[in-house]
Amino acid sequence: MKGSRANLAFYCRNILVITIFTDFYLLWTRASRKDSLLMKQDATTLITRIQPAKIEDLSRLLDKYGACINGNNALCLPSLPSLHFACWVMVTQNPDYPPQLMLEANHDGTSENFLAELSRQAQAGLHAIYSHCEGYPPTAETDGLQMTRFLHTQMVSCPAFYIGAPEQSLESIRNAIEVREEIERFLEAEEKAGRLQELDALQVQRRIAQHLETNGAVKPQISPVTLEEQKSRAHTNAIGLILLGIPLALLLLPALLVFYIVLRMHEMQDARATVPPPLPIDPRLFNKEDVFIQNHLTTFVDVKPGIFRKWTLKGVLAIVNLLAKTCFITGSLGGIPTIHFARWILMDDDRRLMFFSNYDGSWASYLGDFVDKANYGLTAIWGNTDRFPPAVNLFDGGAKHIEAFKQWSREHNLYAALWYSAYPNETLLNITNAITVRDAIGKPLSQMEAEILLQRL
Amino acid sequence: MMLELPDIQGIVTAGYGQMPHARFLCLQIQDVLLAKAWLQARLPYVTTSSRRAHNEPKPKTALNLALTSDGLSAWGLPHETLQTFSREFQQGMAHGERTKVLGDTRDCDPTLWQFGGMTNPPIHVLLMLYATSEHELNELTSAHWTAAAGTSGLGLVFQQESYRRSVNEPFGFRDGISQPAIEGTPGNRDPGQDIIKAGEFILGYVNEYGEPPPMPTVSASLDSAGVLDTDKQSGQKAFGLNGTYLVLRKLSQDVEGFWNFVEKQTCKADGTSDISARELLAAKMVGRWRSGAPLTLTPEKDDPELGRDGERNNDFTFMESDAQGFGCPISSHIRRANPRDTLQPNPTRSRVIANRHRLVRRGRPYEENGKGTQEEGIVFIAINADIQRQFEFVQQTWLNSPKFGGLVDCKDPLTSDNDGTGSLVLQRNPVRKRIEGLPRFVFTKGGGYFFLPGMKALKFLANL
Repeated sequence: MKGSRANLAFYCRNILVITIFTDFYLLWTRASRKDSLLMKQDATTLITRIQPAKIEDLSRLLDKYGACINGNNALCLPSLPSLHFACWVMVTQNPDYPPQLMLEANHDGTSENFLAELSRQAQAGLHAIYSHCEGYPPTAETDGLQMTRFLHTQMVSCPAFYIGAPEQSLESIRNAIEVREEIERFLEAEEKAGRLQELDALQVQRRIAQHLETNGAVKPQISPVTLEEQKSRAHTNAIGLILLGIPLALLLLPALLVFYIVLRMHEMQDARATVPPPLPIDPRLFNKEDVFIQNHLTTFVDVKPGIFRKWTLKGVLAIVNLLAKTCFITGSLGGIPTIHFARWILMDDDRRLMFFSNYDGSWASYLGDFVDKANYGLTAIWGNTDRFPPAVNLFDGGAKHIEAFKQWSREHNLYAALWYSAYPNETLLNITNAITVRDAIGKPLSQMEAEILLQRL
Repeated sequence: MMLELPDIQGIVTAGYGQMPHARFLCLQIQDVLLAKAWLQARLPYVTTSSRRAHNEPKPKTALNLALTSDGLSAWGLPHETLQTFSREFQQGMAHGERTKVLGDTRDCDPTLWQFGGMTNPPIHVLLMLYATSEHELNELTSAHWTAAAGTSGLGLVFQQESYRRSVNEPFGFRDGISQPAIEGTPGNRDPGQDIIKAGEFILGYVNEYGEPPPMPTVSASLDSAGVLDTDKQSGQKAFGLNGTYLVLRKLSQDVEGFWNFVEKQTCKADGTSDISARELLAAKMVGRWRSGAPLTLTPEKDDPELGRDGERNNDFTFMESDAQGFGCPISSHIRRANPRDTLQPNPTRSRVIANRHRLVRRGRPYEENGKGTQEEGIVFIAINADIQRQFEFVQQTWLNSPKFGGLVDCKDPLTSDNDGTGSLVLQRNPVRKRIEGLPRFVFTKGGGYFFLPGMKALKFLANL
């Protein structure tokens, strides 16, 4: 007994080493890039306790705001120049925990700047929402500084955050879309006038570039970091991670072995448990889906009890975060090319785990992608949570069981009344294509490069 | 695991190609006791997937039966049994959640349907009749429906006739080429034909994920005669075993509209037709020439011999020779309905993923002549073990999505819910050709989600 406790302590220390290592690595990679730190997107998450008596009022208010997200004068999200996605979701199902309101925001720049901007642009709406919450100072209705300060106190950290188009500000994305539309218009007119006949790719590229330079209504901004540079960064980072990771793994080998044995014991115990009866599914989820090209997913689960699961989860999230920031920086998270932003949040003393993601296409295709392309990573994370289909060896099983996984996911999807996207009809692939074309169209290219580039249109 | 062919209804494993005449009767239960007796009397005549003996002549008729969720409920199956069926089946095709997924909106809204819609009488039972001649079909109908109608406890809600005069669908293209083969069924495989795990099309077998699909069950107490097998997973009786889900849609095709659109896009400056340009554009929209020859194999002109040749007309992939879509455009119908090796992240993985969304298609053409109007289309029938992951997925994620394959605003030019705002992009060197303002060419006129039980389950229903 004493031995196993010592082992556990030893193991937890090692997880700590891994988390510190990943944080250090991230700091190092960030510091090695002097540029673009300012524009880097960030995740802001606020968790605020709702006054129990005001739950229903708040729910109605969020429904009302959610129904007219673009014509809302009190909460004018489209006027925020740095906000890509935002979502308010109420977490009120489990009476063992206080009712809470979560805000998920994906934005450019720092959380501080974003919250200040949000307070400025949406003070009335924020007041309407947060006056249902505990600890909210009523004076914030008129005092912007007070509002910012209050929001700031509600902030929680984000253990794992993924960005589909890193380094691309909202302004840059919008510009790339406009440039694409301008090019399409130009080509249409040229085609009609018969001016594209017998041109080769290089000549077409030059004509487009010339048009954008001289006559175009939109001026292309050039990305701080191009996708090509991102790719080579990802490559370098992968090599760096392997070079650093192998000695670290060797160093931690005894601990990893102990970890593996304890893990298998836990997994075998979980596998013996009977399949729990299905939970009810919130019917409101279905009305919110497939209104736009993009959709939003919130998966909210209880972490399995015990220190072992908690620290395994933290370790896995740290690794996912590290990979998201170093290797998955070219528009694909573990093979899934449709995620704009995703994050995992631990809350209530690490007893509950929230997953937020903003993705393209239908729920069914997203869940299919999870199983077809990213089941190992997801199982490593969610295998540490309640009711998840049983995992084997941390990564295996779990999300591979499509039916059980879909059922589990639906049961744990939370209804988000208020979801906002700054570009709801653009897929991530549309955006990266548009950015690639914009960044390269004015550059000297070879015939072959021009041919490949023009096929993105 | 061996397929229990005698327990599987015949339409799952055979298209009854030798029987060009078909009739689909949508029936409503009025007296369930009589309906059970009617079903009992039909049991010996239901066509199964049993292999024919060598000396046995080819059958001249076929009969199959399926039920809706409403039908199973009216038949007397309890609520908890119905809940073991998929959500899509329980809701039915006309439910608002489903119409959003399928694009059955605006002029295809279920309130406008001829059958199966919200304002139509409910459908409980689908009786599918096939025959080699019209005479045979009438005799079959008379024997199993007309003569027994008075005592069947069933009322006719809708009747759909179908006659297949050629291998071409109404737009004029050879149809039914790319059909998956079900693993474990008898018959020859064509080169290029994918062999798909039986669990994608029949309940009770392993699917493309290596798991059996969810099994609809009933409690043992209902099966006093002990007709059904026991489901190992739940310990209940496996009502769904050897059954599957059947999707039926009456799809009206605007043949005139389609060819007018193509003509308008391709006519010469003086307004005269440019026949080869017209045929090419139509073929680009489909992905095959009229003969069935795939554009990937013959991008410049039709090759009727290739189109006819079942050994060659489906034996191709896209990425090797046509990755960019210069032959068969990325947005073309066949590249969406079966993307083969074009999906992310790579061709090998793509084959695996694409094969998780396949359909066995058993559609039949129809033609109706009204007062000065002629309507053509197909009675689309698809067989799949998971309506959401197969039929609905293909319609929503591949056909109706304007973003398929990295495109921006291009839905399937042929079979999607286009509304005149989308476009069609034809990949070309050096730069694509873009055609704007695509209207809808295929309209939903009715339909439903059915369950096609195995023979034991039919017997169970007759005994219930």
